[in-house]
Amino acid sequence: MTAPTLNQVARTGERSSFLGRASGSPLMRLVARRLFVSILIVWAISALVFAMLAAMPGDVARNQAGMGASEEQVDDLRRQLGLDQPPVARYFLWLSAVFRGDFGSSLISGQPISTLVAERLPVTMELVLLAFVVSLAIAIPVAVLAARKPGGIFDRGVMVVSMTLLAVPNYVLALLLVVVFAVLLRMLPAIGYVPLSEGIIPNLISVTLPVAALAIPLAAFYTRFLRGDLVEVMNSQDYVETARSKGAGPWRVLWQHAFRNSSFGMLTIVGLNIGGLVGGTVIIEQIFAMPGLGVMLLQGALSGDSPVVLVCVIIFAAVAVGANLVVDLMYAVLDPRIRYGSH
Amino acid sequence: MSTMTPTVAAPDKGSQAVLKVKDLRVVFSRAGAPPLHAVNGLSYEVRAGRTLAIIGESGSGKSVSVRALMGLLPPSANITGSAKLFDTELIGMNEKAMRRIRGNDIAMVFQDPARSLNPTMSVGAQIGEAVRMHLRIGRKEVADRAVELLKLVRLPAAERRYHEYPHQLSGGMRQRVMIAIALAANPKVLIADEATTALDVTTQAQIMELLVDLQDRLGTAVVMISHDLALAASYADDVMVMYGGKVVEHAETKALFRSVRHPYTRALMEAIPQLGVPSHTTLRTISGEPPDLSVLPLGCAFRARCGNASDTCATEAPLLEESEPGYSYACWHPCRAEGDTSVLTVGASTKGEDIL
Repeated sequence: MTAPTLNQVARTGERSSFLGRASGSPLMRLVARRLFVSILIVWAISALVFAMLAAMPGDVARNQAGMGASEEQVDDLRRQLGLDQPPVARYFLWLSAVFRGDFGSSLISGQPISTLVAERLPVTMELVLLAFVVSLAIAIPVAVLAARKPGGIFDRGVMVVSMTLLAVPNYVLALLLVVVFAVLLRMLPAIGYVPLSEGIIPNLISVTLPVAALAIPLAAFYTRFLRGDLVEVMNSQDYVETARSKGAGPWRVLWQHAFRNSSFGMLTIVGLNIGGLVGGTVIIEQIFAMPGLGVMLLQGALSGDSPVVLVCVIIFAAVAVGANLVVDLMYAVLDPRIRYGSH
Repeated sequence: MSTMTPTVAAPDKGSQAVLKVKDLRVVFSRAGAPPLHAVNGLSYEVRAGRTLAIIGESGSGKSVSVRALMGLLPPSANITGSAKLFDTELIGMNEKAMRRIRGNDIAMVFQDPARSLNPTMSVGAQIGEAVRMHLRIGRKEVADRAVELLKLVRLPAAERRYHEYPHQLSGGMRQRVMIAIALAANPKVLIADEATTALDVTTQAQIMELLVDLQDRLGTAVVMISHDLALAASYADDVMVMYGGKVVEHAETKALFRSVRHPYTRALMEAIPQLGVPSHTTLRTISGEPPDLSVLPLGCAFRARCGNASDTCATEAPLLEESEPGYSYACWHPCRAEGDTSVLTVGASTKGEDIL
């Protein structure tokens, strides 16, 4: 059972180095190398989570068989589920099944996990992507406006509001949003998800509050970071003075010169936060009754459905690792110093 | 250059001053500290094609004084006096009008070319930006002009360098790019703020020769800021020495080096290392520290470090007075005008050649 698995891994490695050779460009080599490392990280996470789940107390087979089952029935079920094998063997069994496209089935509902994920992943991805875009769409213009006149009325207002929002945990914010927009104003639904297939507008309305709950604290954090970085660049960098001495106006100096340079620091922060954003969906989906991966993970964890938990955690990890991979590659694309390598 | 849009019309050429500064003062207000008197009454003129060197140590107010002209100082700076570009008053000008002057009529080259170019923008884009700010021309013409400027500053392989980034260039090449940026709109006044300080000696000479050559061809008035009196001796027509935000000596380069009068200028000259002096000879230095500009002394600012100081120096500040036409200094006890020229052997030169 071990052999094909290792083969698979080896082949993945081969493919990436082949990719590197095929394209002479340093960027493609970088992409190939980083992709290979990312796959290794996700694989390592799967092993770690598997080990943690295996170490969890409780007898899944006995729970599954029910209260009145005989010892024999429980043993049968244990064999059926493959739980009679040692954990290492079980892990490689699971891994080889994964490479065949079989993610196993839920211990509770018996449904294939791939089907469950296919239903739920789009919901979570929609929340994460929208929250990501919205947080940046708020943070970037607000930070630039605030940095235009540091210490001015707008800047001070932004600092106070963002500090307040940063201090509020997103689940508290979620409940406040529900109270205001769903209960008092009756503008938006408190719970429930309308799939995209039923129209884009109803879909967007249904995700507005959860997206807001995820995006607002993030936007506050990004705003503070970016504003601080912009002010720092504006005050300390000589090329800002060069730009001003050319006759460039304040907005041009901010966007073309300061923001361009602050965007690298911003990129790092955004990459680091994506893992947190994805993790945040677990609570937010629960509060707003979104049929997403987060709820699936939570229910799986509460009911001891370890195959479900394993797959959910791996997907979350893969999203976080993938986001950081994209961020790293963005550096290479955006920063000429990395793009061309140093002298 | 028919597309140029000069905001300040140059009247009849000749001896008229391009830039005329009169009694310029800059005071920085500071939170929780007494105000800082950075520049205390500065007056000078620069004519087209001429070079004025403003010499002084760190904190003497030389950089602040030129930034005041360009409106590049923070709002905490209170600027008074007058600075006229031809007939246009620069002090107190609103920011929008100032932006049309900056980079167009007055341009500046900064000290450290490694820091004064934007690392994320290509050389071409940074020159193009300066061109576009003041010339209403199309994209293609902007690019052509940028390449033309790179050739003007004698950057080898200009077409290729156009697409490169600052980190791909050497220090000297970067400073050439900075000069290209400064010359984008054919300025009347070019301010070189320690423009060669961060460069090695060979590159420094090349950049200075380039500036002199471009000045001859374009007729630009140059204000060169430096702490290096030897550099001024080689490349400036006039030298103005500043101490504690005031001018202590101001003369034509030749005259100044022939008969230095102010003890501070003399001390600066003695601090220049010289060929012909045995190695390991200790250089003369100026003891003490520059004056604290938050409490301006009653008398002469230099007296605490001056060998000639007397009681008068402590109570009355000497005024900058003309001792002969074109030569002025501010001192109660000046050094002797002629005779003692032991300190005047300064390095290679072009403009001050015959005297050294």
